[in-house]
Amino acid sequence: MLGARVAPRSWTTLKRPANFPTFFNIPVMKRSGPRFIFVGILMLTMLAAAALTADNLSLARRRSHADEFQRLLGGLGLGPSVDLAGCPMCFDARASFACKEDEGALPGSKFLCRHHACSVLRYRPIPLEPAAIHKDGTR
Amino acid sequence: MTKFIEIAGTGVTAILLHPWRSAVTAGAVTVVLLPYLVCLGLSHGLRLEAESSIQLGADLYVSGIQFGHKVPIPLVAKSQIERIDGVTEVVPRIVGAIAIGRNRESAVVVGMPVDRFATGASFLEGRLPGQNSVNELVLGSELAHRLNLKLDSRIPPFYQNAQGEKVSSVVGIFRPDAPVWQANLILTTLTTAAAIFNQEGLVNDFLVYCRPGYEDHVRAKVLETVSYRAQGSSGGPRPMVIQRTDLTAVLPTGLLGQQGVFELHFVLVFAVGILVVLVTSGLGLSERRREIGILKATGWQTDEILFRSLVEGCLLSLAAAALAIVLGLVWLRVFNGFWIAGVFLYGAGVSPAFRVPFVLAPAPALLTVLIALVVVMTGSIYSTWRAATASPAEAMR
Ligand SMILES: [Zn+2]
Repeated sequence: MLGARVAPRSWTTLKRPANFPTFFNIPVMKRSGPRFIFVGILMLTMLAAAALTADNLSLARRRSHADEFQRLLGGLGLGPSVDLAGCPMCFDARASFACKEDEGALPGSKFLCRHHACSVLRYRPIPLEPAAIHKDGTR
Repeated sequence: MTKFIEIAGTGVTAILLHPWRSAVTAGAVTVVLLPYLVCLGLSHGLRLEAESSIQLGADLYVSGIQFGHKVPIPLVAKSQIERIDGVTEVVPRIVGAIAIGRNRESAVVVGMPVDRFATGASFLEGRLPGQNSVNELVLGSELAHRLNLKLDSRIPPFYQNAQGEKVSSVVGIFRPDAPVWQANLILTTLTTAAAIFNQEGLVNDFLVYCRPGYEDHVRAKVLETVSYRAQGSSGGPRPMVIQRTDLTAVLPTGLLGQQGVFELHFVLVFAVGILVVLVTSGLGLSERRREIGILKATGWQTDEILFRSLVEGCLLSLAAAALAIVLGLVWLRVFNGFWIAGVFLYGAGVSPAFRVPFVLAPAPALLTVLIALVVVMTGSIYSTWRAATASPAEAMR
C-alpha cells in the first residue's frame, strides 16, 4: 500500500482501498504474472543488445574482403543497383554522370526513376561542370 | 522512491490487465518498425560499402564528356596523364553493360590491365584472370548462380568481334561476402573487355593515383593539358575529372540522409500506428477509461495515472523495439534480406546470391527504440490524459 512518509506532495493524497491491486499487494500467485512480463521484456531487450553487439563485432572481419576488392578494382560501385541495366548512375555515379530517366525529353523525369525514388541510398549526380575548380588548382 | 517503484509496478500490472490490447499494441508497433529498421539497416550498410569504394578507390577518375554525356576515351591519352607532375600511377579501366545467357542476364563487364592481377585475392574462389589463349573471366556470385556456371566452366563465344571471338573460361567466382557490386560482375583483362565490346583502343576511365596533396594540381593539369582529339580534328570529348571529394559530396549525410520515398511511406505508417495505439489505449477502449475513472475515484492523481501509463507504454515500446531488432537481424543475417533486398537493391533477386550489406547498430537500432517510444507514447499518453482529466463519474460511465 502506498504510504505518505517521504512522498512528494502529489503522492501524499493517495487514499486507496487496502485491497486495491498494486504490484506489491496482489497475491504472490498473481504477482508472478507482472514479474514474468517484466523479466521477459528485460531479457528480450538484452537479447537484442547482445545480438547487435555480436553482429557489429563480426562486421570488421566481413569488411576485409570488401576493402581488398575495392583496392584492386580502384573503387567500383556506389549506389543501390547491382547492374547497369536499370539506371547506371545508381550502380556508380562514376559510370554515368546523370540519371537515365533525366536524360530523356521529359524535364524532371529523374523524380520518376524508380531506382532513386524507392532507393535506400539516394544521391545527387556529380556536377558536370569542371569549372568548379580553377585551372590553377584553386576551388 | 518506493512510491515511484510501486506505481511503476502497477504499470507492469496494467500490461496484464488487458493482455490482448497489450499484445496488439506491441505487435502493431513491431510490424511497423520491422521493415523500417531493415531498410534503414540496408541503407547504412550500403553507405558503408559506398564509403569504402570511395576511400579505397583512385584519387582521381579521368574520363571524357561530350554533349553532356560520359563517353569512352582513347587509351593512348594515358601517357599524357602519366607525364603530369605528382601522378604515381594511371590505370585504364573499362566498365560496360552486356546481356549474357539464354535469359539475357544483365552483367557488368570490368576490364583492367593484366599486371593489376598479379597478386592473389581472398575475395574470390579460384584466381584472377590472366592473359591466355581463352578469355579468362571472374564472375559475380549472383551471375554465376543465374547462369549455372562453376569454376573452370567454359562459355562459348557470347559477343561479336571483327577479329573473331574466343571461348571464355571461368577462372574465379566472387565470394558472396565481397561488396554487393560484384553480384553481376564479369572481371577480366583490359584486352578481353575491349574484345567483348569490340572497342579496341578505347576505355571508360583512367584511375589516377597521385602523391598526397597533389590531387587538385593534377586535376587542374588534366583539364588544361589532356586532349582526346584526334590529330586534325576540331571536335571530340573534353576531359572530365572526378575527385574523391566530389564523390563524398554526393552521398547522403546524416542519420536520415535521403532514403527516398520509403521515408515518406514510413511517416504515414507511423502516423497510422499512433492512431492505432490511441484507439487501443483508451479512446476506443471503454474498459480502460473506466479503469482510470476508478483509480481517480480511489484517490489517484492525474500525474500518477500518467506515470503508470508512461511505464506501461515504455515497457510495451521496449518490447516492440527489441522484438523488431531481433527479427530484423534474423531477416537480414539468417534469411539474407529475403524479398526486401530485391525491393531496395535493383538487380537483386528475391533470394540474393550475395551477402546483403546492412548495419543495424547503433543508429538504426536506437532510432527504432525512439520511434517505438514516440508511437506508443503519443497514442497512449494522450488518451490516458483525456480519461484522467475527466471527472471519475464521467470516465466510469
Ligand atoms: Zn535514375
